[in-house]
Amino acid sequence: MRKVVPSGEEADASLLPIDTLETYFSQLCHKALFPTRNDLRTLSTNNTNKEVSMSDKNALDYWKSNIRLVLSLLGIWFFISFGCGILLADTLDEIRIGGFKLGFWIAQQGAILVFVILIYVYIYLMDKLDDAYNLNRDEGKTAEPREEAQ
Amino acid sequence: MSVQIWTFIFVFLTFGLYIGIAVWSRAGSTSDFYVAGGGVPPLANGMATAADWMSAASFISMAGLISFLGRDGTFYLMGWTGGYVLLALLLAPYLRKFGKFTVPDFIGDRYYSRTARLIAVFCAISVSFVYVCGQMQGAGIVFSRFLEVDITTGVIIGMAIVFFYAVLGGMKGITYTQVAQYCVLIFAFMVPAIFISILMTGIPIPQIGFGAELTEAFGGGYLLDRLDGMSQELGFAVYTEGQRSTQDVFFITAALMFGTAGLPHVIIRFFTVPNVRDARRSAGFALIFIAILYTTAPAVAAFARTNLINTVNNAEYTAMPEWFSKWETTNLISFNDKNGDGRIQYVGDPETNELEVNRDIMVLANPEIANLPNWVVALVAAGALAAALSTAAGLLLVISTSVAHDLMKRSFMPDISEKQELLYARTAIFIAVLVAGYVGINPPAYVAQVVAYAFGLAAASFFPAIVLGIFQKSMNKQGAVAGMIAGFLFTAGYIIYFKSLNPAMDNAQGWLLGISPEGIGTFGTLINLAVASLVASFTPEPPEDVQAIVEEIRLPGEAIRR
Repeated sequence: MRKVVPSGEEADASLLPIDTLETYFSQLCHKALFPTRNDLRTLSTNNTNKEVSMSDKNALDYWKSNIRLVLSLLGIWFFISFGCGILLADTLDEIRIGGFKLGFWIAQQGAILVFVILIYVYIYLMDKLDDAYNLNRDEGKTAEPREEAQ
Repeated sequence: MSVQIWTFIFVFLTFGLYIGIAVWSRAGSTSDFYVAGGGVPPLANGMATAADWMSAASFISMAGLISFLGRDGTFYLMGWTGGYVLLALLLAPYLRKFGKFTVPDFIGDRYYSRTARLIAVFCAISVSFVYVCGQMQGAGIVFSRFLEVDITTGVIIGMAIVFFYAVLGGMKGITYTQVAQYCVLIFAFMVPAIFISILMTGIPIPQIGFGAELTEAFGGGYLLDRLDGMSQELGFAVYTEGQRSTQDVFFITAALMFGTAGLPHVIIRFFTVPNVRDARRSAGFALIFIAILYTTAPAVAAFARTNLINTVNNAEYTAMPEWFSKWETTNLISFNDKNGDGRIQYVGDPETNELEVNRDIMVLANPEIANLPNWVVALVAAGALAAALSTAAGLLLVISTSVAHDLMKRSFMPDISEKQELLYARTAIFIAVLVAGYVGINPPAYVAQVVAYAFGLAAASFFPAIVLGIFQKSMNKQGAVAGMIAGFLFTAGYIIYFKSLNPAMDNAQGWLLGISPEGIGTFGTLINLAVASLVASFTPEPPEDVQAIVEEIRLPGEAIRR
């Protein structure tokens, strides 16, 4: 259960002192993905920028979706390169495809292909996200933000 | 026609092209000079990024390194491409939205501190300078081997060309020459690779030929199996099995990835596109263009290794082809007939091995070893020059913007006019060219090694500072400055300790947790993150206007700059 804290600044301070770096980051990620109402309130009081035409609530939703997308893509990135290409490579080498051992192939060819695909998935999904929040069409001179499709 | 005449023709034509482009794209304003006016289409920026990124090391050395490292060469392949995923997902869109000219610009504004800006300038200049010296050495090798001019003349010609288009066109000139250089270098890399793949496996796509069966003339069987067998027979390590410890490979790969994402000359390329969407797109294009070479390189490595062993092992020294003696004159191949039988014994055991082959020549000598036509051999020389010059130009621009923009305009002389700033920028390039040229002609022995460490330093200093600046709004100047200093000093200290102060300890037993100096940048990155978070936790939050900047760069839309 998350402890309820009175304001955003103190919420930040409540993350510390750091027990371990790992818990610190996991708390940070948790906070980014599932902000409390207090976090939301802090964000809207801190946001003094009048240029941003979308509402603070929308800006936060957009950022949350963005973080979620980036973290999942980086998860795949880590799994393929460090997981399959290095840590599990010897095990995967048992499997052969043509003249390649699988672990060796992933390390020297497959991972690079996956990297390219990941960037294109990111481009595609971010474009969709931007459209859902009406963030590109007129390069910032947007009218009212549309509701997200789903 | 001889190789030399072909080389003259190719080098003359490509250099003429680069100069033509430079004249056509002169820079008129500081914005033109620093970021090409921010109007480069994503496809062109992708090509320019690829050329900027793929240096003499990628073109000349990488396939050679892999062919001697085998499976361990993986860390170059994944490290130098996987960094683009980090760049595309964590840095490029936000830095483009921030919309300034340089990396120290971002660090200085985001951390509202001249100290942070100056540290960033120092890191940018030292990383770029170390790197540019390596490019000049690469250009020197090509000139001396293929044009048979001495290295001094070669380096001077190369520097004159870079100087001409960098000073005249700034980022604008560099961008469009890099587009041309990408086309030259990828053509030059692919043509011999395709030729050799057809020759050895009958398959025109090297990436597939890599895993295919050899033709009858080469003895049949899968290429990699045969290579493993031959390596074992001669006492070398099995090609598809790793020799280094898993944690070392892990750390080196990570250091190269973080370093790639933190290299200032790559990051500034994303300042040149019109908007955030295009920044994401150009990261995609850049990685595709890079992947074409990077997936071919391991295939070339395996072909070259097989071919080399086939050609030289147990062959009569006097029956060696012409390329052998030509490379012998550059001292990059040396033969020492230890048992006096007049044959070359090329084996893993250093006691009886009679042949030393410099790994840098594998790509350059590969077409000759495979008996390809002379024009292909010459094309490789032109491609290697394109790779060296394009990267050198990008690095020189970072040095010049760091001096003129970050040091003069933003730190010490805020009152200078745009014209004066441009003059400083051009003077800085001029001086940087002279110094780099001097180092290229008189290379200190450690330069080539140090290039690899530039990544570790970039990883430990820039990468965490930028990522925290975007993703952690409460990160303040005290945290960032402490983190950068800690990361940089730790990494530089570790490298200097093992490479200069105590080289006797430079082995797996002496290393911290078995991590080599090449991989220690990953540790430096973690130290940077930890120190930054710790210091930020007991120092004041950044001011509100800075927090507002962070919120703004998280949303795509109109850039702040204009």
